[in-house]
Order: sequence, then structure tokens, then C-alpha cells
Amino acid sequence: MKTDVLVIGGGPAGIAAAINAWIAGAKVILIEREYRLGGILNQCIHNGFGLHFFGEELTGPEYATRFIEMLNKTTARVLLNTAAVKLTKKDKLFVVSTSGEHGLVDIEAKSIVLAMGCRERAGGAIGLAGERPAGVFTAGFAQKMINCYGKHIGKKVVILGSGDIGLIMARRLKCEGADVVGVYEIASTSSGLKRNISQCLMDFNIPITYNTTVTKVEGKKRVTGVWVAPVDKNWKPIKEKAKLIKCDTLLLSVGLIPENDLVINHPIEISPLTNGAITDEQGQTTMKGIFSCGNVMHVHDLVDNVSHEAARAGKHAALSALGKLRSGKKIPVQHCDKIRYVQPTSVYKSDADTAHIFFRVKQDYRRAALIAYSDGKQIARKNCMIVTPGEMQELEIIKTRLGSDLVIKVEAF
Amino acid sequence: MKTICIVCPVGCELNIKKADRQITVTGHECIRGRDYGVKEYTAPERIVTTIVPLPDGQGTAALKTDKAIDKRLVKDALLEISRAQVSPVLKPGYIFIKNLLGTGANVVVTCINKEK
Repeated sequence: MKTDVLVIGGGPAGIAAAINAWIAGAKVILIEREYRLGGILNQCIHNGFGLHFFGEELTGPEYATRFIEMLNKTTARVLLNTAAVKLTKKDKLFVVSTSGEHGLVDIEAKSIVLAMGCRERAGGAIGLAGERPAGVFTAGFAQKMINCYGKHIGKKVVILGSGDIGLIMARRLKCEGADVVGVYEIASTSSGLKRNISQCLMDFNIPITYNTTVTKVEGKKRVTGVWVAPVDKNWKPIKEKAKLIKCDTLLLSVGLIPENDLVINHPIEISPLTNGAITDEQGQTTMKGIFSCGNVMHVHDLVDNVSHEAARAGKHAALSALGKLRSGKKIPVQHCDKIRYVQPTSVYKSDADTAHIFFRVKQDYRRAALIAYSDGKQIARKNCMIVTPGEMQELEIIKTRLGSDLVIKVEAF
Repeated sequence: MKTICIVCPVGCELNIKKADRQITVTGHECIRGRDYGVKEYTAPERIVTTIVPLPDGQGTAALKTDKAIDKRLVKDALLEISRAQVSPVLKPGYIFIKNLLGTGANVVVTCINKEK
């Protein structure tokens, strides 16, 4: 099979990339390993998606449906139940070996959009001690079991980690009739949205305990309890203060890892901060012709941002395949030490009218001005009452104002 | 009553009291926080989302109320939804329950989760 652009992954990033690659005039194939498009949105049955993109509050499946309907109006070819197994290069073409309904099939493409999303960190990643009984789930997998398959996963649940998925699942399990004993968070604050602390925990009287972690799982065949202990400043559990909490289920909401396995042996620079590929303004990685977007590039908190980012990557992947990609002078995006990372890491002086710089701060800053400087002059600014690491920040750069450099800073105002 | 304001990322911790028919909100940094506090005290509302298993046991229908309902009715709403008969021909957009518990909100299907 041959195509201009091959999009790998059919979640919100892949769909938006495929639509925009097609609009830009390319022949497009999208492959998705599940039996349907939509990715993780399908299991996120709660509302709160699309406020920025559509100006209304949709559930996950509804947000996905809007984009799937747009994709259906294009001639982009969608291959479901098809997984990418290997990526190789043949002359100027990329070859992706896929495993799907027609067996092993090689797809040749002029450019590739990586849109594989991320996977959850599991018990092994956090060094969870104890036996390996049934009843330990990652929060997202539990979400799929309950929401998509209608299964009951447990009656008495402890949740470790207070990321948004963990909080959302605390509410879901309570609504399904389970007893949610509590949420334990090793840090002193939750990385989840305030909205979720309020509407998922407080609304249902679910307690959250900070500076505390699960140290050991009890149970042979099925979880019978977990040991929880407060931690010291270095997040080391204080074992003398550990106590046993009876439960039959442990949910882990302890972080996400971009799923970049496909490109691991290729000369694509991966950021140690995001575990995703470093890209320029057009979404292109350090390997020419390979683009990246969505959670495989850096973990987002709003799907609306994913859609915008993927649209840009898809468009430029098409232009690259058609030999129309404009580049010109590349300007690296620098930042002050209050910022953990920026994405993209470089912009072009002339291509496109505006550039969107996404970044996360290292800690909470009150009354913070987010400022973009070029040649010492302010070229973009946003004043915020507070900025937090959990919320991705964005600055729009108008290219006509861009001089010879670009520095993003967080300052007090 | 204590709650966290969700209007913006600051997340002010609000303390809401009623004395002499007057509701007072403290802890907010802006006017929007006061309005949120008063609303949460007098008439808090939530959109309810849940699922029902499909009749053949193979998958689920995801549901939502098409508008926010009185927060105090959420538990009853979930019970009402779980008791309702599930038609095998549900599709996204179908009204699953009309006028849920007299709230004026309909329960609508947002997604069918079924592997073909």
C-alpha cells in the first residue's frame, strides 16, 4: 500500500491530523489498533470536553464523534484493527509494517504522523511491593472495564495518585455503587484539576490524604488490603506509621508515558522532560518527514489543545509529502527556569502568521505574567492570577513581531 | 459550608454561611467566586453521566443528562437510570429517559460501546 501521509493512531490527535493532511491535498491513510476511532475519548463518558474548540461542554464520545464525522467527509482511508509493528526507511520513503485484518501489510508513505497517545504507568514503575493478586488496576484500564465493557471491578477501592483520571474514577466507582475508601497522594498537592477535586471527591465525601503513599499490597488471589504510610520530604515512606487498609481493589493513577516505542531506534530526539519527540512549530521531529502530535509528544490536559496541535502537524506532514513545506530561518524557543518545558522548541520566522507556544511551569506562581520576548521587546503577554504545573499554558506569537530570538518568561506583575 | 471555587484555576477555598436570610461567602478573591459560592449554597447543579449495560451483556450505552440537575438528586437519578429497561436498539442521540425525576432534563445516549 502507498500513500502520501500515514497517520499512526486514531484518537483525537490522529483524527485531526488526518483531516488536515487531507485538506492540505495529500492522500492519507490512518491506522488504528482498536475496532473503532476515538481512542481514549470513548471511555471518558464524563462531560467537560470541547469548551475551547466547540464552545460547549461535551462528553468524550461526543467530542470524538464530531471529529469522526468530519473525517468521514474526506477520502482519507481508515484501517481499523491495525497496529503499527515496525518503522523502517527505504530510500526516501518510510515503510510501516502493520498487523491487521489483512495480515502483515507494509504501508509506504512519504511522511508519517505519530499520534499513538500515551499509556499508564503501572505498579512496576512505582516499585509496588507485595504479591500480585487480582484487583490492582491502572485507573484508565478500570475506566475502560467499567464504561465500555460494563464490568464491576471491585467493591471496596483505594486509589493511589490524584491525577485527573484517578479523581474521575473515584466518582465513577462511587456512582457504580462501590465504596471508595480514599485517595492517597504522595505529593503535597493534587496534580488534578481543582474542578475534579471539588466535583469528584467533595461532592461524594471521598477523602484525599496528601504526603502519603501505598507501600505494599496484601492478598494472595485477590487484594485483601493495602498498607499506606506517610512520606518524608524525600517521598520516603515512614514505615513505623504505616497502617493496613482493608479493600479488594487498588487503582493506580500515577502518571502517563508517551508511547514512542515505534521510533525508539530512529534518530528522533526524545525530550527527557516530556518523554515525547522534540518538534518544531510545524510538528516535525528531528527526523525529516516524521511529525508528532497529541499525547505521544507531550501529555496534555485538554483535548482541545490536542486537536489544534494535531491539525498543524497533519497539515505540515501533507505539505512535506507534496514537497511544498516551507521552512526558512529557524529560531529556537528559549525559556526561563520557572518553566519546565516548551513545545515546540523552535519556530520559523516566516512560515504561517502565528505560532502557538505551549509550556508548563515548574510550580504554582501567583500573579504571574507570561511573556514572550524577542530582541528584548515584549511580543506577547498574558497576565494570570495563578499558573500551576497541572495546567498547560499557551502564548500566541504574531510572526511580524518576531525578531532574531524568542524567549518565554514567567514574571511577577 | 465549605467548597472549592471551580470558576478559574486559582481554586479559592470558599466558606459559605447563612445568617438572617443573608448568604455570606468568604475566601474568594474575585466577584465570580462569590457568585459561584451563592449558587453552590442555594441551588447546586450537576450534569450526570453514567452507563447502562446492553441487554445482551455485550457492552454498554453511555448516557448523560442533557442539562444539569439538582445536585441532591444525583443519587436518585443514578438509581432511576439503573432501573430503566434498556432497549436493544439504542443509538447515540436517543432519549433514554424523558424528564428525569421531573427535573425537565432528559437522559440521552452519547455512545454505544459494542465490539462488532
